[in-house]
Amino acid sequence: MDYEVNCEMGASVGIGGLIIGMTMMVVFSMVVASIDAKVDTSLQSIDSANEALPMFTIDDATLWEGAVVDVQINGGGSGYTNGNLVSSTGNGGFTGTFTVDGSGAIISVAITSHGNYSSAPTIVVQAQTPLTTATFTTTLGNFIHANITNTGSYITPLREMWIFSDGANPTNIGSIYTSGNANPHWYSGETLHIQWAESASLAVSRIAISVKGVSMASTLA
Amino acid sequence: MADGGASTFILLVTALLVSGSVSAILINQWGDMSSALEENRKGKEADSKTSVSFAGDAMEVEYDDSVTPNVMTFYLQNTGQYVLDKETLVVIVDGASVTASISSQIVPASGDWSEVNLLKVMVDSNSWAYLDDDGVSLSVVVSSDVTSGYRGTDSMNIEVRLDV
Repeated sequence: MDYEVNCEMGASVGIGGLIIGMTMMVVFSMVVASIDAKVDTSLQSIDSANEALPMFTIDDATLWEGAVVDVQINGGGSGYTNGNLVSSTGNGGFTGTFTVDGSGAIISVAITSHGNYSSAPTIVVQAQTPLTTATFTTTLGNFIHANITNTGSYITPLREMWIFSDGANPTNIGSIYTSGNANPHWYSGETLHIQWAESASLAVSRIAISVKGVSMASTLA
Repeated sequence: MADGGASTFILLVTALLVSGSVSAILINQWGDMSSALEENRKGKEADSKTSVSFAGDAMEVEYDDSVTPNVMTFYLQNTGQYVLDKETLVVIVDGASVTASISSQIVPASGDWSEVNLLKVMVDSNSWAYLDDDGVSLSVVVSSDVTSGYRGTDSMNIEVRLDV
């Protein structure tokens, strides 16, 4: 009789313990999951807070108000081969290249150095004897040269960088900086030489560069 | 013995039923709490991936006083990871909302307001009479497009100087 009662009590205590144990495990797993979710959220907040901000300097910025910003072909001439263009007037420093069609007529021009002039220069083909001479019209405009250095650790895609003149004319630096790379980046310690044929017809006095929420400005020399 | 065994069994079954009910309630409550935490987490994630910043020259914000009402023009950059919704833009100038008179356009003039595009913002007000080199306080609030069911929000404040 005593043995049977002891057995029943033992079974009840065992099952009770099992229930309590399982309940505690359920509660424990809830607490663990809750802490895990909170840690996830906190880590994300810490991650976003620790994201490096861009740091850079505008080393120098110069405005050339008489730069050749466009060369139009009036007459393509004939008898040319692909070659170079130079200025026959002034010493502003213009240079360019051109391509020809099957008859040797100039069909396209690319500016390699915009130069700086007080009046529109005469553009000529360098060292060729054509059948018919080509003629060109030049347009002078604002051209900005600037050197900027990445002084931080943030590696910036050029397509996320913008340059402004007098707070207007926003231009994506990725569209004006030629690096040969399809998606160029600006690395720590790297200096970029920006050459920008700014579209304003009037002289401008300042440029600003905005990178990921950080903006720097400089007066033009 | 038989009576004692039956009552013990009844107690055991009752204990199991009560324990099961409590567990069910706890698990149900936990499910609700877990959902609330998940909602909260996704909301915070959307906020942390939504960011807007002023772009350009804060010393030369364009202000056109030749038209009525006067027009202020500035640029905003998406500095977050989510595409921003320009229709949700709220602009406050010197503490007064000018949200009703906002016009905006993406620069370059196509695509969404992603991190590679700027938003050109033009706001006007009949109550403005600012002069060249006046300083104004500019505040902007913007939300992201709905991403994974959530919309993040960010704001920025900056002191700018007007260029008439």
